[in-house]
Amino acid sequence: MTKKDETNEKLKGTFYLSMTLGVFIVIVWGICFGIFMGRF
Amino acid sequence: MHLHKYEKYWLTFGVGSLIVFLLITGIMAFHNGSHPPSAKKTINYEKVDELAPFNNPGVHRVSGKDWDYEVVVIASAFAYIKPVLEVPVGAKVKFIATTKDVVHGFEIAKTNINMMLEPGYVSEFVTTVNKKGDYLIVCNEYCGVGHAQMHSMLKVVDKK
Repeated sequence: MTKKDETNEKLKGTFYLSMTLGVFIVIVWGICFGIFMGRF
Repeated sequence: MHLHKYEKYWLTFGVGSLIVFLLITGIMAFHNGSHPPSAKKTINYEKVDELAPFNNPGVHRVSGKDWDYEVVVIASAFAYIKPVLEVPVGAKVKFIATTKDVVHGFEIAKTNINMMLEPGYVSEFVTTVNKKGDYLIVCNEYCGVGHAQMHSMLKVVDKK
């Protein structure tokens, strides 16, 4: 395993967690926006 | 400057989300005309009962305006005038409200209507009431000992 591969492996968990959190925030925002649009 | 590929993905996602949010906000504000309730008009709070339109509170059908009905409401400790408001479903309504004494709230539960009523200012909000039902109007600004009892009702009913 090269040094570059090692670095990628170390950062993979952080990357997945960050993306999961980001997607969660976007989904929650979308749900709130849907509620706002559904009301008068 | 070296950026790791994961960092590039994350930055692209973050900046992309920001652009999408700003675009939606811009479209809502400039195209759909969605703005916070305005309080640009002023009024002498000591003479609210004598000044139009507050000398005749309630629901009024209007013509020649961008909206079909005007709902005029006066808040004071600890009630709204009038206690029940009835508008037909599908009507475009302008809510016009003010207070005679302290700061009150005018929130119609389960809707996007939520205005702060300040002494000396007239709060306005225009919307189309497109769902039938009884909607509770509550004061959401603490205004004194009777705050919890301060409420009114908006009835959205079938067209007559």
